[in-house]
Amino acid sequence: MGITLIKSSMQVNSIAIKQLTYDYQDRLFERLDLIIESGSLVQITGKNGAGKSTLLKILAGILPIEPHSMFINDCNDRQVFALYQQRIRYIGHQPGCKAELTVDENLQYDSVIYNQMLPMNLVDHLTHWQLNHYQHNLVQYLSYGQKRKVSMLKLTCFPGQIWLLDEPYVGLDKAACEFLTKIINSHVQNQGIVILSTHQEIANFGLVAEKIINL
Amino acid sequence: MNAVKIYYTMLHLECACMWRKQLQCLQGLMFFCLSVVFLPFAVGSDLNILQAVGPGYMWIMAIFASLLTADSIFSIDNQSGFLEKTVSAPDCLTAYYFAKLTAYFIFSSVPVILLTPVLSLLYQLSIFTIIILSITLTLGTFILNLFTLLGSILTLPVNQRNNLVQLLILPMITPVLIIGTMASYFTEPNQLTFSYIYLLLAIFLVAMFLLPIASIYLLRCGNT
Repeated sequence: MGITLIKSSMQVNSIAIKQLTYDYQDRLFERLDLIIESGSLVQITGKNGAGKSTLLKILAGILPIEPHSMFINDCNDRQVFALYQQRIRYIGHQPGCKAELTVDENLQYDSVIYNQMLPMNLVDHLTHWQLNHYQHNLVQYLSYGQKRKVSMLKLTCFPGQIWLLDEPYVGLDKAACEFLTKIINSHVQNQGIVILSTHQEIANFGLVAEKIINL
Repeated sequence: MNAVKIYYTMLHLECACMWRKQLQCLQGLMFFCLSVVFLPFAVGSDLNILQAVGPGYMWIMAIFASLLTADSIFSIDNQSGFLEKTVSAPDCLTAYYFAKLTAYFIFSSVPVILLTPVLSLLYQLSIFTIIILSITLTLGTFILNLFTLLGSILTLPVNQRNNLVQLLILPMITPVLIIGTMASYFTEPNQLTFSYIYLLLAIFLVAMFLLPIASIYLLRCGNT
């Protein structure tokens, strides 16, 4: 009822997972509970195979779970979940760009996926990630780190409230790491939600996690 | 942005992808050309035999040709993580599916359909047969592509390039194959030909309605 009113301007205030049990070959989570509030940076840690990536995929809605175990703004309505998914920017292990397309064409594809226009100052965004000379190069000829940067571009080009980053610092050079830290910090200050999984100490990059989920 | 514009942008980019993988797309076309050209070497140049066997043979080869590259439709996107990204933004999945379907049809089946009238001249088929062959092939390959996309989504978790898709699909499209070949056996206008074409059209409409629903649902359910 009230959903239509808040449709376009819905702000995600909290993401809650209640009593989640999930099997992926082995049992990964047993009655997992967690609450993430807006304006917070959450780090997911755990040994290899503990389910860090799986948890991020569940939060992104890529892996389906039982509908009554995930709540957005204390509400587990499907429409609200769809609105929540529109605000997700997920970066997984794989860069997630099409190798046969150029950087520019990949951005065009992202712009229809996220239903936002390409920013006017696109070259500035590319410069931040040191990709300004590669705008019309095919992604298949870029290095791994550059491919990662192409997938990071969507964080700045197509703003979304919830960032789900799986090992975001892997493959990035020093300048890009610093820039990533900067945008994560400013995103958290602007009531955004950043959930990242990493083995490294994120304090080394200048980030302070408000919550650490140890799987 | 409305759905149609999203679809056109995606179609444009998917076609650009396919265009840059020309060699893969040429595979099917080459297979079709060679198998049609080489038939007379095997069965002799007796026109009676060629005209009797030709249409059905071309039909089957066209179907096989469009199946050749079937396993790569979604698996490349799956391995590069692109599919995950699309699934996490579920509004665009429908447009994504139809863009994939159209791009695959344009690059795997349309060249074969366009070449059919030219290659039919080798067997000296009648004009009527050629027209019927083209119509039934257009409908048939489109139905086939709908099944191919479903099959390639179903086999995504296997994560290996193999011929599972073809094995899965061939039993499903056998009725289409039978009806299609039956329709193209007649050399002059015939009541039966049209009833076969109507039957194909019926299958096309049902498949066009049901298979996208099933495929998009499977994509959304996180088959990755």
